[in-house]
Amino acid sequence: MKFGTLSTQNPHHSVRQARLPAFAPLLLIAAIWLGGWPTAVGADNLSKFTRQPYLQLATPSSMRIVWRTASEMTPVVRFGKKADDLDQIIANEFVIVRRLLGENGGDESMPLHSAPEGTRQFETTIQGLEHDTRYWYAIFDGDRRLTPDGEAGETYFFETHPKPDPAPNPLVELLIPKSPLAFWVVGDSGTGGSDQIAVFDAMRDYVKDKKVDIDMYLHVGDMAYGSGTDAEFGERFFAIYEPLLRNTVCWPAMGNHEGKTSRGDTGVGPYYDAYVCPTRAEAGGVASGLEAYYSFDYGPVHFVVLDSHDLDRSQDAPMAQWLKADLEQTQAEWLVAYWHHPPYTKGSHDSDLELQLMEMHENYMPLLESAGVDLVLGGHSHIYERSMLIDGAYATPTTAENVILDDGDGDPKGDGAYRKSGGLNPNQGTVAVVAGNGGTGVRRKGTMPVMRSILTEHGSLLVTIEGNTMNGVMINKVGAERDVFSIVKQGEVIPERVTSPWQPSAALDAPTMTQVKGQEMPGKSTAVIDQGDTWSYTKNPDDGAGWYGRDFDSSTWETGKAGFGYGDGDDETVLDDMRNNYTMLRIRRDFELSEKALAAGGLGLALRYDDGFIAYVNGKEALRVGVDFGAGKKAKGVLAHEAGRKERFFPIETNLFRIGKNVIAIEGHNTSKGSSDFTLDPYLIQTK
Amino acid sequence: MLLLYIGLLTCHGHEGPPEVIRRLTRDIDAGRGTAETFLARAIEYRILNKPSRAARDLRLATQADPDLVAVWRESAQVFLDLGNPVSAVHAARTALLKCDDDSRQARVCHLLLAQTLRSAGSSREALEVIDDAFLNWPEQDVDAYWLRSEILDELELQSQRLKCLSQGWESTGSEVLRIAWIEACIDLGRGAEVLPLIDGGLAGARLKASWRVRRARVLQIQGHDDEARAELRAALSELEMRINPQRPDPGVIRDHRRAFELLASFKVSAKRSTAEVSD
Repeated sequence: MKFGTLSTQNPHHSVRQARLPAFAPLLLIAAIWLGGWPTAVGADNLSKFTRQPYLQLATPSSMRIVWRTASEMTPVVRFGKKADDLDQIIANEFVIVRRLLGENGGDESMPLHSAPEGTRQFETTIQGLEHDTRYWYAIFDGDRRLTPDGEAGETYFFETHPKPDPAPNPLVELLIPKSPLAFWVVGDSGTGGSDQIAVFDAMRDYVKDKKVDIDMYLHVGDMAYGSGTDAEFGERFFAIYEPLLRNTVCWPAMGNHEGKTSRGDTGVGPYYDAYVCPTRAEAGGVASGLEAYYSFDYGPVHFVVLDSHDLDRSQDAPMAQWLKADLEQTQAEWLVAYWHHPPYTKGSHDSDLELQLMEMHENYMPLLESAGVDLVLGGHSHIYERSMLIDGAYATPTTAENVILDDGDGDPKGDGAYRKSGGLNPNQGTVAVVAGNGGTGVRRKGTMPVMRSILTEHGSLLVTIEGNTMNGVMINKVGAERDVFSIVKQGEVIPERVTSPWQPSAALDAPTMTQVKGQEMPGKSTAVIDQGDTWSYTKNPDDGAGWYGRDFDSSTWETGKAGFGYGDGDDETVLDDMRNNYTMLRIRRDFELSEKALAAGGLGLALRYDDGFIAYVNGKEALRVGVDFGAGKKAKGVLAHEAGRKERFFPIETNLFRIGKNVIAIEGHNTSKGSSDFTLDPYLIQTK
Repeated sequence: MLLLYIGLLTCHGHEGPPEVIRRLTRDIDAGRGTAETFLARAIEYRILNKPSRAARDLRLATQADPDLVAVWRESAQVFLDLGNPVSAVHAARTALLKCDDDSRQARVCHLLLAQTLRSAGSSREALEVIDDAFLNWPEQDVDAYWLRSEILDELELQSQRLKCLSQGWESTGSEVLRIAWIEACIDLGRGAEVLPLIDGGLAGARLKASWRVRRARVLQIQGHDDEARAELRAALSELEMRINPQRPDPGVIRDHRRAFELLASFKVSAKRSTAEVSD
C-alpha cells in the first residue's frame, strides 16, 4: 500500500492558482545565476498547457505521458526516482507531436482528429523503467520548466506496474509483502456539474483518510456529455480529474455519448485522440489490433476492456474471438472485465429490453464466466447496483432462478465475504456492478433480481485486491460507505446454487433526498425564507450574466410570491404565459444570516418542484436536481418530475453561506414548452 | 455535425430509450418531426430490438430529407436486422452514392455495402467493393480485414484469404487475424509451417484446448495419429472440466464438439480401414 500520493490540490481551482513554493524565487535566481535549468519556475507556466500532462498505457517497464498546448513548443521531459533530482531526460526528438489533419508537420501517421486549430498534442513513452517503481517527472519547453517545482511538483509522478507473477511464492510474499492494488471505478460522470465534482472530492477525501493510494482509474464510459466532443472532454473530464490524471493512469471504456463523435472500428474521434490504449498487447494479454477493446495486467490481476457500443457483439465477431484468445492465455489470479453497457440493470436503463445490454449478458458473460471472471463492471444505467455472487445469468429476462451461488451481502462484517477457489476457475461466481452514478442524474426504473445492493445516489466504487482478497466499497458523494463486499479466493470451493435466494425489495426508493455523513434529516426546523415569501423572478433567459451572484442587480425583474408555476392550481404566482413559450424560470432573493445562525449550520432547501432545478448560494452552485448538465439555455437532460409534497435537501454546504447578506438563486426547468404544468416553490430552512 | 445533432436529440443522459422515444414522439406529434428526429427515434427503436418500427421511422426520415447519409446507413443496418438483405443493399448503395468526398464516411459506406452484399449472397460483388475500399484506404482496421477474409473464404479464394489475413495481422497486430491465419494455413495443408506458432501458443496458454485441437489437426495431416489423438483427449478432458452443466458457455460447447468430431473421425477412418482390410 502506498500512502498519501494523491494530490490534495483542489481540482477546481484555476491552474494558475497552483501553489508556488515559498523559495521558488530563490531557486529561479540561483538557476539563472548558474546558467542551468530551470530558467523559469512557477505555476504560471502551467497556462501553456491546454491539457495538462496525464498518464497513459502503463506497463512494468514503461509509461506514456501526454499533454497539449495551443502552440509550438520544444518538448522535453525530465524524470527520475527523486522528486528533486530529475536526472534523466527525454529529448524533443523522442516526443511525438500530433496535429490536426491538414496542418503541416508533426507525425502524419498519428493526426489529431478533433481539436482546436493550432493544437499540439505531445506524447512520449518512457521506456526501460524498473517495475513497481515511482518516478517523478516534469515537462519543459526547451529549458523552461512548465510543470511546477517544489511541493506542487511532487504530485507529478508515476508508478510502473508490478510484473505479472504467475507463480507467487508464499514465502517470498511473507517476507516482502506486496502492495495491494487499489483502483477507482467511475461511470457516467461527464457532466462537469456539482455532483461529478462531489463524487470526486468524496473519493479523494476517503482515500486520504484511509491512507489508500489509487493505483489506477477505470472509467466505464460516458465521461464527456453530451457527445464526447473535444471541448466536452476538456471541460468535463480533464479539467475535473487533472490532479488525479497527472499521477494515475485512466484505463477507459468508451460510452455511448463518446460514441456520438468517436468510432470504435476506426479509432477516430476525440475519445481516441485523448487516450492511448494498447493494441499490440503492450501491457499484457493478447493483441486486439485496435484501441476499442484491449486488456492489461497489473501484477496478478488481468483487466479486460470491451466496446459494447458500436462494434459487433455477436459471438463470432472479432471482439468475442479476441476475448476468447485473451482469456485462454492469461495466467492471472484475478480477472476483472468492464465495458459501458451493463449486463444486468434496472436503473435508468433496462438490460431485459435494450439490445446492447442483452447481448452483453447473452454473448459475453458465458465467455467470461467459463474463464473464471471475478468482477464485471459497467455504467450507462445511472444508478449503483451490485449483484450477489452469480453465475449463468445469460437468459433474457434475467431472473434469480438457479443463478445465485451466494445470496449473502458479501460484507465481511455482515453475511461474510463471497468464497471462490484460488486462482481462475470456471463458473465459480461473479460480482457484477453498475457504477453509472458518477455524476449525472440517478434514476431507478425497477428491480434487477440478481442485485444485492441497489442505491439511487451519486458515488463511485473503490476496489482493492490484496493476496486472495478483493474488497469493494461504494463511496457516495458525501463520503459515506454505502455498500461493502468482498471476495476471498482460497482452497477449493464447490459452488452450489441457492434454490430460494434472497430478493431485493421491489419498492423504488426516492432519489431526491440527500444526507450528509450520517446526519439525519431535520426533525424540527425554522424557516429562513418562508413559504409564500416574495422573490424576484425573470422569464428571460438572457436577463443578465451572473444573475445568481451576490452583486447582481435584479431591480428590473418582476416580483412575486412563491410558488411559481401554472397548470396544477397550486401556485401563488401564476405564469399563465409559460406554456408553449418558455421552459425556464429564474428566481432570486436576498436573506440575512447572523453569526449565530451561521455557526449553527444545518441550512437546507425544502421545495416542491416540477420538473428540475439548479440552486445557487452566493453565486456558487449548491444543488442540482433533475437537470443533467449545463444551465440556462444550455441545460440538458431535464428529468420529468411531478410536484407533490415538499422535498427536503439537507444540509447545503455551510461554507457557501456567510454572515450578513446572502443570496439564493434558483433556476427552475420544465421538460418541454408544451408541458401541462410547472412548479417552483422553495423555502430555506434551518435546523433548530 | 449531424451525428452531433442526433447526439443532442438523444443526449438526455438519465433517460432510457422508452423515455427518449416518448420525448421524440411528443415533438413529432406536435409537428416538429424532422429527418433527424425520425432518425433519432429509429436508433432508439433499434436499441429496443424493434427493427420494424425503426424501419418505419427511417422511411419517414428519408422522405423528410432523402440526402442524409446517416439515415441510409442506419437503414442498411436495420434491414440486415430484419433479414432483408436486398433492401439493405439498396440502402447501403444509396448511402455510398450520397457520400461526398468525406473519405471517412465513404470508407465506412464501402464496408457497409460489402457487408450487405455478402448477406445478400453477392459475394463476388462484395469482394469488388471491399477491394475498392482497400485500394482507396490502405490502412484498414481489424473488422475490414475480417470481413474481406470471410468473403474470400465464401468464394473459396483461399490463397488470397491467407494473404489478407497475413497482411491484416501484420498491419494491425490482431491476435484474432493471426489465429485465423493459422487456421487457414492448416486448412490449406500448410500445417507444418505453423506448427512452431501453435507450439508457442500452447506453451503460453492457461486454457490449452483450442491450441491442442489446432495441433491435433496438423498432426493428423502429418499422419501422427497417436499424437493427434492424445492431444484431442487432453483437449476434451480440459473442456469437460470447463463445461458448466447447467449454464454452459456456447463457445466451450463448440470447441468440445469440434474436438469430439475430430477424435471420432479417427475412429471412423479406423473402422473404415478395418472394413477395407476385411473386404
